[in-house]
Amino acid sequence: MYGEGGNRRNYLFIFLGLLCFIGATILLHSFKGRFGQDTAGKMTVEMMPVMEDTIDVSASEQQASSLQAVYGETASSDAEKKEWVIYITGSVKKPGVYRIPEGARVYQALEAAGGFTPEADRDAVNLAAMLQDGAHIKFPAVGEEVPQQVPTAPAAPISGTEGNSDTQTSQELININTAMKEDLEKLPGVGPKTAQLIIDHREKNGAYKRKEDLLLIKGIGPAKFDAVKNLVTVAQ
Amino acid sequence: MRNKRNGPLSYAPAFAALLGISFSLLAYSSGHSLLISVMISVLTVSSWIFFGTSDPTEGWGTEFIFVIIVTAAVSLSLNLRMSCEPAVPSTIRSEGKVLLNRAWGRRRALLISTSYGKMAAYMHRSSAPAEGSGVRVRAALFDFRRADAGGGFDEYLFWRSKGAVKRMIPLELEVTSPPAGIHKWRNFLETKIEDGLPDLMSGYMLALTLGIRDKKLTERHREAGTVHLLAVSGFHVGILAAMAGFFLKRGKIKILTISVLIWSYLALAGFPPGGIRAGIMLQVYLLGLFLGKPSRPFNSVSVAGIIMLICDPWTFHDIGWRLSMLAALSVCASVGIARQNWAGALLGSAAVWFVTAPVIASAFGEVPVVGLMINIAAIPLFTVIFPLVFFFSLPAFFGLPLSHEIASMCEYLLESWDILSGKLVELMPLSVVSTLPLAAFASFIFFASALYASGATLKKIPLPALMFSLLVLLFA
Repeated sequence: MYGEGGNRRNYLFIFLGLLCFIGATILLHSFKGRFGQDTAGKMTVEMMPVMEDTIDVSASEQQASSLQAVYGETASSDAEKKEWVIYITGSVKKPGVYRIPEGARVYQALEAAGGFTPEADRDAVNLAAMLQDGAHIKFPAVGEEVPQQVPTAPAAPISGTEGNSDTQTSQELININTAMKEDLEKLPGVGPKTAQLIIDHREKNGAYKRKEDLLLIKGIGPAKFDAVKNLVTVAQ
Repeated sequence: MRNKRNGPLSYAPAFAALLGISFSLLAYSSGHSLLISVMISVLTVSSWIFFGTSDPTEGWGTEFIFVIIVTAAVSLSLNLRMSCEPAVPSTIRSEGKVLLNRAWGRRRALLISTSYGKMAAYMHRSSAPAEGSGVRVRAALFDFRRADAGGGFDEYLFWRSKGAVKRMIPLELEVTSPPAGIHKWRNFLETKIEDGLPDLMSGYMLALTLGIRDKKLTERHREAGTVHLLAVSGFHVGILAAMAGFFLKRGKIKILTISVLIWSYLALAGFPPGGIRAGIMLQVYLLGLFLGKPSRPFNSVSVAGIIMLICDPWTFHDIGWRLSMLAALSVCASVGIARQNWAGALLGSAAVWFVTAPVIASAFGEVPVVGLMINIAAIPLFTVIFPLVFFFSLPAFFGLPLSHEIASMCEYLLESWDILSGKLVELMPLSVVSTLPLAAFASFIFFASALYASGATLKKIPLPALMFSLLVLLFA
């Protein structure tokens, strides 16, 4: 069919084809142990989008750009060091929004804000209380009305996200990562079945990282979540 | 040119590139590094070209290098884009638009565009806003669920291939504007079709025009192995183009009119992957006609596949795209065989069934064997039935006299087909499940027909077809 040169060239092509094919197979085989990782869900954490805090994107353009800047900064540094963002107001030297290490307590937030002002009521806030991401801490002045502190809850600073009011902390918060079934049943709309599902979920998937994770529980919809979100905490 | 079967670079260079890109995407999504994945793409495309080439023409080397560079560059680019996961907040407030609203068991699945990208949501039927509605939403975002180690439905890959970056649970959702534009038309037509036509006609018209599948009709076609007829794809686009071509005069205006018609139809159908693939393929073919250089269908399908991947690399994980590409490539490859041997036409239909069977079986559990037989009759039959359904539904649509009688006639025709295919299913109630021998056989058939369509000589087909089949099975 082909001349002698043509035959030789065709054999060369088959040889080269084999060589490339073997190369491809070796590369695949060398990594064979990693096959199926993505669908097995083992790489989920690395592959999933990075989560950040609540950002209202319906804000004005200027606000939006500043939020984006904060957000971008966090995203890039997130891999190196986990931080919480908190809002400090009241009788402190430098009120404002601060980044503090994850797991910090109220006294660290106070240090970040430059400490008390002379008029501050130093006993009004429990400086040993644990913080949580997105918290708003108000340090009142002497004589100012003070929202009641919760002595026992580990994460009970005067804090909240998504428009929580400070007065909501007057009730004891239930830690959904540690609470017993009976405690969970105290929440509005949570019966024995839902309480058990909340416990089952944390035992199967690990600790709840945020209150919104309750929405993953069958039986907790947006309305029920809104009813319980200010009564629970996820502090670990 | 046909007599001189000198290999992939002369016949279908785009398929060689698509093959390399696909292997690269498979490797990367299986956990290989970026560099290794690109190397795999280069080696597989080189191997394919070397195996298929018999008598290289002048300038072969330059073409070879060009294809390799393009394959490597596209593979690198696509894998890089897939590796960049978007960073999103855990809860959002945003204005957006409902891009998709489809049945999802008892609920509805929604794709909503927000300022942070597209989000998927599952909602109760009564509270799900209509497609095209403007919405203001406050929602918590969650990761998609991955498939179990043993396989099964992968929510992550499914929604990423639809463009969604996260699953959201709306805490507040307010409709700010009613459906507008093409969505308004889609909703209007859906209501009009559902209200004005009998059951079967309504089901077929919804599938044919809007890409919406009726649950009962889909189930019947699934049992008969003809569910692909309900998915807007090259079959439907081809019928529309053929009808337009029949009524229009020759010339460049005809090419332009067909192009506008096809893309308008696809927009109305909600841009399904199979339809887009067919649209691009047809556009490549029409462009060739426009320039006086008609391209080979097999190569045009491959070009369409690459363009779709470049537009959105996650399309690779869309089962609709995979089935559409496999079927279209198999059909185009068998067209070449059928020209030399009319038995090839039947073989082509069987080849499409075998090639797509393992993919369907792995996704849906099983494939009815009767589909192998029914499709041989169903495909030419529905080439006539679909235009009939369309024209017979027009009187009812415009409220003309005798519209009910005309629609009833068509309904009888569809019922007859329904009964006939039902009887055939009863006669042959066998199904195949996803097994290694089936996958191996399907891969072999696919690669053998692809090698033939790529210009390899017959004696050069068996060995590489076998080897590439084994390579595919490595990923399975």
